[in-house]
Amino acid sequence: MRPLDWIVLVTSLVSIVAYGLYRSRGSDTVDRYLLAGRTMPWYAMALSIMATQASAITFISTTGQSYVDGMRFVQFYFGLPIAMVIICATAVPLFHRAKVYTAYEYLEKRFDAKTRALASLIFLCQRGLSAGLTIYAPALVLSVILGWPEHLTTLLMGATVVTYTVLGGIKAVTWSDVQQMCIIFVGLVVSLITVMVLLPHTVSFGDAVFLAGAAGRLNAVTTTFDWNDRFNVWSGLFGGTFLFLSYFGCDQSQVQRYLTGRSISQSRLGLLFNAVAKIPMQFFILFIGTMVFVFYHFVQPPLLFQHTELARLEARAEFHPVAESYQQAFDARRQATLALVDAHHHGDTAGERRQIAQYRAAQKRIDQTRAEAARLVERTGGEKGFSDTNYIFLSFVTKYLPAGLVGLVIAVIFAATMSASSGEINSLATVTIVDLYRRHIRQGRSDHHYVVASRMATLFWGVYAVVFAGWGKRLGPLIVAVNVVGSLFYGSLLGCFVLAFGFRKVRGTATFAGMLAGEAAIFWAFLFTNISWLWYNVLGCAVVVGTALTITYLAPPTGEPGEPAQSARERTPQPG
Amino acid sequence: MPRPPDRGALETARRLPRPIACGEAAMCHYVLMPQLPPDPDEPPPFLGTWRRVYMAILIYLGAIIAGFYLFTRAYR
Repeated sequence: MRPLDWIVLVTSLVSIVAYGLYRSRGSDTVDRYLLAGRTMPWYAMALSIMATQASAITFISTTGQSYVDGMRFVQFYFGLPIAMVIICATAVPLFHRAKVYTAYEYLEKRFDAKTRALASLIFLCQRGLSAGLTIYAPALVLSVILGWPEHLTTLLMGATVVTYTVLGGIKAVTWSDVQQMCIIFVGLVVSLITVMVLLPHTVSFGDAVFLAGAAGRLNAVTTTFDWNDRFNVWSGLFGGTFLFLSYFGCDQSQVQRYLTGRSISQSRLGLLFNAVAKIPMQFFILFIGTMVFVFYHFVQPPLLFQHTELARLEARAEFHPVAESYQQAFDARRQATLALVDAHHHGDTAGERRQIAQYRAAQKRIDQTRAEAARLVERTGGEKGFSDTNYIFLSFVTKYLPAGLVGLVIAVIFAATMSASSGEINSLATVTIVDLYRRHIRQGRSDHHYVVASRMATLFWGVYAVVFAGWGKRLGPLIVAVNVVGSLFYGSLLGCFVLAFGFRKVRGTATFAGMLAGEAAIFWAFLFTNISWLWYNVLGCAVVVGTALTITYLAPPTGEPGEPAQSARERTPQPG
Repeated sequence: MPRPPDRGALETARRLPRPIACGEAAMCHYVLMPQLPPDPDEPPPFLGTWRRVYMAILIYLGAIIAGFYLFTRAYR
């Protein structure tokens, strides 16, 4: 990091906090502190929703993912527009009209207190676990790339987030999210332009895209169905729809964003903006990764992008044959690439086919050598299941971007971490106070009392996230952990809301039992099967709905919906 | 104490045809939350009705998937 990078980074961070706090003046009642007085315009909500969903690992890992695996990850988002439409048509008007603070508060109106409490606890478990990971994942990568101690990056990000979230509440979170998304957009565009400028002059944008395609990196759609394949069009459309329905319909960290809207229309517009913008944005991020991949056809990339592991290996004798093989493979690929571009320029189709075969053979050798190096890391006492995917983009940034832009991209990573983390901390505090503290522990206190309690809860969850981030190292591979943690809990929450919205005869007790059965089914699938985590949401939701409907059929409740739930058996007069 | 449900509203809701997937007014009756106050909704700023906006989003999704499919085939 050069002085100009520091100036850009510090200015970005300070301006994010200052702007958020400036816009959050007057957050002195519970309604204003937790829901911004329901006054937010659609564009602020739209960017806040986007920022909360896009954590730093999205930018670090997605670019790396397309470098090694191509663009098929974009299919993961195909279910998002469908989910947004369903939520806009169902959940948004209901939540708005119910004037609730949390999604789970609505469940008590629809079912009963125990269902609300169970849903709140499931949310706190799930979101509490991810809150630490949200901070830890980028802190780890930044510490390796920048050479800073891990606890310093964790503390720096954690302290900044906690400061403005505690002081400013949801307004500070939302307005700082807006600014963070602006920084993220600028950073992404600048990154792509820089990659293109760094390509050799003889290689045009069209050539770069052609090369990425020849390497199989532009595989945006895979139509083959496979239960165990995470990313194909079917898992994206079906599994993705369920995942995003759970995330945007049942997860308070997202629901709270659109509850702050000044009207139903504003909230809908905020969500629908994401339905339109999210897939192109992810495509764009993945495309940057593929262009970095093409850039490294002309400049030799390190054998491993995680430089501390690479330095450790370089000191060992068994590393040198692997490094030599890598050098030969890179030279062969470079030759094949130049010949392929030349054939492409001359419109020589037969020559293109020949060169593509040679190019792919050389690429295969490079992939094999990198895999061999990763195995060597494991064999010599390194991390099990070692992968350097998360380090590819930041390694490129710090090595090749000019002064100032490195600071900007690091600011993007910080901004993404802070926006995702602040949303989580704020929603955790809201559920803790509204669904548990105000409902079960201290009822009927003054507004001021609950504002102070909300600030304390925010502080608690912020400190918890930072402390938990310190334990992140023991949780295994980060991306797996982040994704699996969410999918372990979302299915039953979604099932609960599906019952609330769609099945008028189902009551609280049946729903409660269904949620417990759904959780049991998901943990069974997680522990004893190889089903991809994207399907856990479908499974959990189906089990919750199936169990609740079975119970309702076997012991039909009496009385009108909307009255407190009471089964026929409960209504039968007892002797004596 | 929550207000008791309005019997008239419940009867009206029962007589309504079952909603298919969306359609917010029908949904609210379907879910039966008679205690919720009416909250007048604004039309969308474009396309006239929310139903048309939703259709446009789904068509957009279809177009994007088709575009990506052609993109994948073109550079395969």
